[in-house]
Amino acid sequence: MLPDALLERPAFSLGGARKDALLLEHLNALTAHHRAACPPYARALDALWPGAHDGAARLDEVPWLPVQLFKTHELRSIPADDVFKTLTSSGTTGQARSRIFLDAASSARQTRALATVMSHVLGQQRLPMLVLDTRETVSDRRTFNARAAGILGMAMFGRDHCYALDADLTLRTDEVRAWLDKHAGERILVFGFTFMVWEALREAVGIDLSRATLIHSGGWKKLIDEAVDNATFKRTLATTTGLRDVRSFYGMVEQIGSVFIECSEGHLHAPNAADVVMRDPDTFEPAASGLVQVLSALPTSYPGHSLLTEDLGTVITRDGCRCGWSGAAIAVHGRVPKAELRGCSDTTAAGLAVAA
Amino acid sequence: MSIVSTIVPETGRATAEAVLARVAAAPAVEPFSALAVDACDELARALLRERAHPEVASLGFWLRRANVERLRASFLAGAQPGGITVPRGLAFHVPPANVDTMALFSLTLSLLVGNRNIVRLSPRAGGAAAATMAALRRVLAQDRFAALREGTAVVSYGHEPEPTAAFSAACDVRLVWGGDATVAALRSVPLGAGAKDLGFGDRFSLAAIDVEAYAIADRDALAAALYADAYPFDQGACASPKLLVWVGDAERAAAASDDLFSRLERLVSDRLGPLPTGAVTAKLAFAFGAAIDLPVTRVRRPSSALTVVTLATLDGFTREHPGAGLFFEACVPDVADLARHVTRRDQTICVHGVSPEPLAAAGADRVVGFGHALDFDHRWDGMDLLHELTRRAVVECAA
Repeated sequence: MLPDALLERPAFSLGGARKDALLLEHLNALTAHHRAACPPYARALDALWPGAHDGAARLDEVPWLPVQLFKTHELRSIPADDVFKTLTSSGTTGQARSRIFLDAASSARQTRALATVMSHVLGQQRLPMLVLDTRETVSDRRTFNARAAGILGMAMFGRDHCYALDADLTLRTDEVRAWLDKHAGERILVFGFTFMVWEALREAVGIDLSRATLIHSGGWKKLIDEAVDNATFKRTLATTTGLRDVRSFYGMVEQIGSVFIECSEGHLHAPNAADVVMRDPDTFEPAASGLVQVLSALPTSYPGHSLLTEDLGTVITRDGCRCGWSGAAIAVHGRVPKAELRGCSDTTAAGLAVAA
Repeated sequence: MSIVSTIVPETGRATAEAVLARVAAAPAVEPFSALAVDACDELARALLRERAHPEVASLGFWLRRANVERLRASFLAGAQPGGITVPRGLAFHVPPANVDTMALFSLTLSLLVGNRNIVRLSPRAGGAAAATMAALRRVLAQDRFAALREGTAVVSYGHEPEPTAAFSAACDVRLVWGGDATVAALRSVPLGAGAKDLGFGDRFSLAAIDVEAYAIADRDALAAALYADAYPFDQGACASPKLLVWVGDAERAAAASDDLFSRLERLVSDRLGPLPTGAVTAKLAFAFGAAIDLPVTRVRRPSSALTVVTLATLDGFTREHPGAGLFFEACVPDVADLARHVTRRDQTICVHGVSPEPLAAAGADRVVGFGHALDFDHRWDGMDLLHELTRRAVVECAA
């Protein structure tokens, strides 16, 4: 069963028992599909969920994989010859990166899913687009990474793209002003990664973005270190640039196309083809708050339809958000801190011998 | 000129060169001097009062006079005729950052045989390490221990290479604890021509239970012993068992496994409480990866502080392990089959009802009873440290 039918409806229109039933049917079918098509997935399932596993009666009973597994293992449900595109996650130097294998159909479906969500927020017309990044990020193929992929993924929802930052990441104030003058009176799309948006616009002067919609993502860690929360972020940008329509989104390369976007009430909403289960970090039982497990009906080329992330989150409401959108509305609080365990093997001391 | 933090004999800052100069000028002390035995006994009393850190108290137990006298007796009994045993001189210790008792264990062994000592304590060392060093500082502050105090320096510094280079060049023996990467890295730092390098690399440890013997064992005591062997250092001590092998009939082993692990789980939930979430998520990812890569038939309780990963066979077992309460489990028909799977990577094997000699002959460094995996012992990784830390001067003539 292909999930394309779920993408024909307007975004955020499905909810309640009807959404649960439709998603469950798709997810059970995907569990069976990946089990047959991806032997490593089948081995993990048989060891962790012995007995029946493709007949989950509820969404929170659908078997899941830890998302980090895509960093250590090659998991795909299509022959190597059918791989159309391999996505890799961002990651600091030396860290393993996720590898996500897409065939042409999955790639097209994910693009379509993203379009369904974005057009719901931005409308059907392509808007003049201001990218809060440097052109080098997308033009230098040697450093092509998740940031570049994110920009290119969003670029199709805009036109007349203006890259707002210099190579040293300072705001090109004059160029941006000229570009804004050119589009005076028009609605504008602004896109960037949360921390770069903050750095670029927190002290911006004479940049009027009062008719713009800002879409941003990429984690709050650095901002929380500076004691900047979402409310401060929005208040500051409203003061410096007049930005009123600010929407963060939550998504990951392992479930690209499944984008949780911020509604008018400030909550992240699961799109039609996706849902979320929070798991208590001590018991792993479903709970209102805990580790975020993301469910998506989209991934057919790799077993990523049910993933336990290392993010912590809370379900705010299901179908009851005042913004009018259906589906789960959540808040994401950040990544689980790495635990430092004790033990004789102490690789960090190896640094003692590194010459200065 | 490189500055280090000093912890013993007093807290402060000094250059590595000044630390070296002071320690090198300390008077010589013969092996098992009354002074060193007295100091260890005083230290033992202080450590035994450390209720907050049980592993520190067990180091205190090991340092008591009665035990040190036994050490001395075994040391003297091992000496060959025709000479005298003397200290090597200056020992430089690099203990692991995250097993807090190793620094003092390494230091006191060396102190007992008369060496002067410099210990590099990691800035990341935990509260128990600080407690042991504070106790040592107080003991050595007494006037009568001045000779020992002058020959002892515990210092701390980050990853700057200069102090390590200076201490390595000056020492007569270097003890590096902390895994293959650390040992390999430190080997690239030159020692003096006559100096000796003792490296303690990555090791694996396991436990083996005879299925028939389990049926008649005190099973609560066995579970408690396994808990004490495995859990004190997040299962990360090299001697902590990480694999449990049942020897005997597979069907009865499965029933015994359910019984033992349910007893162990009660202890874990009573005494340990939940793990840090980051440790659970890392262990989960490891368990899923093991299920994909190894002949795993089942993973039980993947998200708790006691995870059991059952292997269909020990063939191809890699010995990779995440710590944090995960037991691989397998069943073999007899001890000969287990011995075939033992390698030189295996350090400690805890046994119950299983014949120890074939396992020692197959490559393990220690075969001990349940509950003794983490016992302090001067014999470690196949070496007698008391002998490694001394040298034998030949005397073949009369005056």
